[in-house]
Amino acid sequence: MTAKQRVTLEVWLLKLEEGVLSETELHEYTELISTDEEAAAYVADRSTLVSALHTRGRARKAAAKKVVAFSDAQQSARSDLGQPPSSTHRRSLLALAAALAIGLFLSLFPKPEASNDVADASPQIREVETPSMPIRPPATSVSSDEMPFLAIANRGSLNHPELASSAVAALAGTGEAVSEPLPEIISYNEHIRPILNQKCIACHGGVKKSGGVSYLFPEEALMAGESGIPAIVPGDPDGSEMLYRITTDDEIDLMPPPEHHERLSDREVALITKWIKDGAKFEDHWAFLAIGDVAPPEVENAGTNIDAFILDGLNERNLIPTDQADDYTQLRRLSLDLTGLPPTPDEILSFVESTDPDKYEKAVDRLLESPHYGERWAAVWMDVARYSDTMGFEKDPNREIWLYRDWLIDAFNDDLPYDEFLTHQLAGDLLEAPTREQLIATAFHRNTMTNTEGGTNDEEFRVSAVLDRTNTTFEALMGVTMNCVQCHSHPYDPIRMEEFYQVYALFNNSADGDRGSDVPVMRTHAASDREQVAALQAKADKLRKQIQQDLSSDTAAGAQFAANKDSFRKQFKEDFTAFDIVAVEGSEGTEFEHLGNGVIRSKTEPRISEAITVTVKVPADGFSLQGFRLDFLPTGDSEKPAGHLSFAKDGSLMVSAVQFLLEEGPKATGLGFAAFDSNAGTGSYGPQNLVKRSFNQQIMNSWKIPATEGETPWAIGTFGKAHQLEPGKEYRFRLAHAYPNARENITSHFQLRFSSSDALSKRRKLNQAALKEVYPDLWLAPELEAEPALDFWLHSGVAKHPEWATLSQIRQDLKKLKKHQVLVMREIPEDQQRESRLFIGGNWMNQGDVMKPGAPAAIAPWKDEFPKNRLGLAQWMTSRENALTARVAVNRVWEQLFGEGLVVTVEDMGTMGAQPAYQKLLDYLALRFKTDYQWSQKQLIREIVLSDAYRRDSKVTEKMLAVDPANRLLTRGPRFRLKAEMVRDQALFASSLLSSKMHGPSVMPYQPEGIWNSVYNKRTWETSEGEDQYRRAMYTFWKRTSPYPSMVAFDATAREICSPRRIRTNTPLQALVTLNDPAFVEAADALGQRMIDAGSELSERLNFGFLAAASRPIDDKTLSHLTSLYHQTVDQMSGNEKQAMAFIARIILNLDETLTKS
Amino acid sequence: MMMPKRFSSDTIVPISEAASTSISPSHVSMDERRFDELLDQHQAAIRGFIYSLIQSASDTDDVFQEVCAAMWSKRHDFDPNRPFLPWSLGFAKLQSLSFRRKAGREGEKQQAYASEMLEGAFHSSPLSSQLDTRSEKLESCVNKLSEEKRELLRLRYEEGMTVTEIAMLPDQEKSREALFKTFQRLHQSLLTCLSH
Repeated sequence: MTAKQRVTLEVWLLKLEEGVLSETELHEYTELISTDEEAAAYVADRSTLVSALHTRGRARKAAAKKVVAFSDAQQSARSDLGQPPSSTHRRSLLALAAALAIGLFLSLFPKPEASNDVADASPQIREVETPSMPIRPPATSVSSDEMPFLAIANRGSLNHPELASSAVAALAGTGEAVSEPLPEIISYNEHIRPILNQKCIACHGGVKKSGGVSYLFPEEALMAGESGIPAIVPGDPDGSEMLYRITTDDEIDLMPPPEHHERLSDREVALITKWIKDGAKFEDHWAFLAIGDVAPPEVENAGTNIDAFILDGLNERNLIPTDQADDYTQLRRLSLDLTGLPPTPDEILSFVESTDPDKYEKAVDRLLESPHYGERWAAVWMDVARYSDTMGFEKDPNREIWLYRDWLIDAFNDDLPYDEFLTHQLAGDLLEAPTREQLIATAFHRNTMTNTEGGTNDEEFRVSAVLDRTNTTFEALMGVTMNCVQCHSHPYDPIRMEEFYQVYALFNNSADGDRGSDVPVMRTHAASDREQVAALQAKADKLRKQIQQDLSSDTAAGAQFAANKDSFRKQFKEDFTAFDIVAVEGSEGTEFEHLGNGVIRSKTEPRISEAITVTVKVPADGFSLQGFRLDFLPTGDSEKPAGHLSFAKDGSLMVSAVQFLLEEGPKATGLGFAAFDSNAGTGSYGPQNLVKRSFNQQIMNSWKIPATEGETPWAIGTFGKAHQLEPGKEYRFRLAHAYPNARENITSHFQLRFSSSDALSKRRKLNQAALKEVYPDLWLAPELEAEPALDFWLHSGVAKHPEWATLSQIRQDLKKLKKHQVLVMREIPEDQQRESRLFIGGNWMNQGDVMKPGAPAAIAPWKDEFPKNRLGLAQWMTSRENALTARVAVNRVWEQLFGEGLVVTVEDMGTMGAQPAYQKLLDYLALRFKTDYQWSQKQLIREIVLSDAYRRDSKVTEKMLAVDPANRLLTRGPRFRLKAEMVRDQALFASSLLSSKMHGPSVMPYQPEGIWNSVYNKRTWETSEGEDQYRRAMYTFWKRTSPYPSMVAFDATAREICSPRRIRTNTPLQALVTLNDPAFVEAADALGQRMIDAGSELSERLNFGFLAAASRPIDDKTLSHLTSLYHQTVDQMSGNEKQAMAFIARIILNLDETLTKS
Repeated sequence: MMMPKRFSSDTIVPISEAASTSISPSHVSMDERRFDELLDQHQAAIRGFIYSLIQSASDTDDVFQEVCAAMWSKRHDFDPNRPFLPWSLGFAKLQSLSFRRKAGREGEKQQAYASEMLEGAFHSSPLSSQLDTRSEKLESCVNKLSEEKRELLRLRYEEGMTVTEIAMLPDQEKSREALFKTFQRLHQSLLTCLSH
């Protein structure tokens, strides 16, 4: 029913009550009730209500009369006593009257006998009756009973976003005075969306559309809700149900419901009123919009464009930023940020002493070119990519995927443009002729978990991995939390549930399937081996070409070779004879005829599972049997194309067992086969399946002979030795097809011949020995004439060449350079692609409509030219229209440098994410990153670290602390505790223990005993030896169920799923790690030694230790403290200077200053 | 309120016969069970409709009885391929209008007043179960209304004034049409409140 119909209906009903309804109206009324169930249900309910209201009204009236009468009487009695009437009495009487009314009311509505009959009568009402879930706006505390989905959030298992808005909101100043004039132009994003998000969206958004009203999408907000009235009628505040609802005095109608939220303030109402009056223009969320004007404001003293934005903001708030930090601090900050390592004492001294005005810029460029730059930034990305050396879940077995980490390091060092960086990782395999690097990059999305636990459903966990890819792509690369959208439309962001599954559909056609082997995988050389491999390969190719040339027929050596070949062939000539056929029988009754020369043909189509028994007679002079040969001939059916071997659809044949036996009385002697060769059927369906097989077995792996054009398929069976067959004896040769549920026929037309040539066995042996070296993977011997056989000829000595030994050696060397495994993405063939459906309620078992691939339209349009696969997604993400990708990338870089992103919630740039303090700055950098820098991350980092904002002193004034404790306004330089990786790397680097070895498999540095208790597999933590003990933290073996403890203490995550942001915490455990972890103890010892080596004076030694660990010279006060402490320690350690210095080094390594980037 | 049980079983077509003639749906007679089912399903709507026409809860029962009886006697005319409600509302309209004419003639309408306070009325609407189990609900819902609407309720249901009469009150600012709208909203609000 529309709103208009409702009013019309009510008018009719009221007119009926007044007895003034016309005939026509009565007719229309009846017509409406007859045809509109909703109207009929409404009339039924309204009738009940009106009847109750009448009853109530009469009761009240009657009671009031009595009260009046009673009080009149009382009053007259009282007035006799000169007393006013008691109001208490009056109230109790009213209560009595009310009770009477309710009693009557009760009797009016006896309980129905069967309530479900009633419910069936009107589905509309039933819907209303569904107990509503009281969702409170996010700012208030919520009990987990009331909001089941929030309970999940509290467990954190789904990485559900924080619902509380950030502290920046406080800075923005929401409590404006009512009297303040309304803005000239009402901005949806600035004025309206915050009100809706805070007070309306919880019930009228993606999770729940109470009353059929949602404010997430304009078209929904403008649509009529269940009441039939549109919530918002642009330009018409009076006609907008929303405005009535937020202003009414009726508690029933008032929104938000009084029990959920306070009513909107007058100003909020005024804002909404004006907004609707002005046409109710919706705007997309700022982060989803194209980047607008990014011209830096004109500000005095702004060192760089970045500073112009920041100073502009600070001036507005009357804040004065700090000055530039000293050289020591600047170099330390820069080195740690760009390479993850502190500067060396030499670097520090030369930097400080230099008078070059460009020395800072030069240091930036030097550090950006350092190979450690790649390691530092790859470590950041490993969190995003959920990199792990194990598969996860209960068994958590090992997985080899470190080649991806190598790729990351190289990609950062080579400054692979970010758009390509993303494209290769999302869809490298779908690029035209992908390189090995592009394929390795796709391991990004193979870092999902694999569940190898027994009894788990592979499809369930395949789906789970695809969901993870969808979520990770958006959370990490687009800064949009998508997890929510798996189950329902996004509660706050304009992303529909359908759109989640459109992206899911893009990911749903990869070939992986939660298999224990983690296939598809690629085996390739490590980057470090690649040069050598390529060189050896080139050398081998060149040699082989030369050999081939030298052995060509026009040379003397070639002529010799040809002659050798001829004699070799003669030696191995095979010779087959047909025996006389006595009978041919089919086990299923098919009749066969024999046509001479061993040729047998069925008269009718053989049945499936037919076993054919051919009885042959040994020739009169006996036979020395070495083997037999079967030739499968075309069906002879003119309807079937040539090469069609059987009557089955695809023309292929299937043989599951072959037997050759002598039956004498009850005794049957079978002759065992040594090998089968064939030109048809390979791999798991090859003829080797027939070698050791009992005839009556039901077998899964049979020999399948495909129908082929041209060459007829043949098979040669060898017995491995000669069997002397007595003349005249009858042998049975049986072919069976015992494969259950087979669809292929057994042969219907074939030739059977026998051979006494020992060439069969000899060839077999020769093949095995010679080919094992050259073609280890080939079971089947190539035809001796075939081209690749040159190696075979050389190997077997038939061809001779002086360089053959060299070539063999090169091949040996190549083999020693091992290939490593990496998981890769691969798309399944187009004709087998999966149909992707929406999962109702996020449950993969509850499938909804089929989803076409696509991406959320609110972020950027999906263009027709995008391929409908992961590559299309990458193109969408890096398209000109998609402003979010660059914003998120810039924000992540900023977060790494400043400790917090411009948008603090790096993982959420949606409407519930934190408001950026400097949105224009973010936009400026995003645009520059995308256009001027062509997605170069190094250029972007360079611009940021060259800004004054980055180089400022981190000293904080009381005012700054009061106004901006978290430094979101950037009044000062960044100062925060080092990341987990840096804590370790710095200690090892300062003490010179750190290995500079890059790339390669994960290593196992010291870890306390008993941390690992790997169930089902015997994997143990085998502490690495030598320099692998002191590798950078990023190379540490990462086990999901048991991540490296000393890094976990510093907020590293288990990386089971994407962790786009590490939340810094400070706990006592961290001090225990840096004081006691063997790596740190050893580092202290080594640093102590370095300090001793640094000079003869104690002050020199202490100064060196400070330079190495804290990157600055020691100050007098610290020097005097440490000096006296050193002397005390030497005394206590009975003069052991080495130990005492190690003790001092340990103190330096544990200083707050050392563990902090200032 | 149950279906009147005055129909003997011999008027019911045997099931086998019904099955054998199932080719042509228009000839299938409704058996008692099917009739009951349909009636159950639409009872609330039919009663609501009757009430809206005759404005008396107790009389609604009587008229509904008559409607049922009339429908039963004409059940062979019902085409099971068509919806039941319009068909039954035809009867309800006829019976209600005839009741109104009769009541108008006899001038009895006002007398229903006293008896109605004691008699049971609608127990077939899903709402009534709400009203039944939460009888204070109506009171609390009414209390949530604004002052203005409570006054309208009083005028309409305590003073028994029609909307037209209310519109003519000297201090009433709203027009009759506006009041129609207000009453629509008022009834809707109360129904919403009661159903929660």
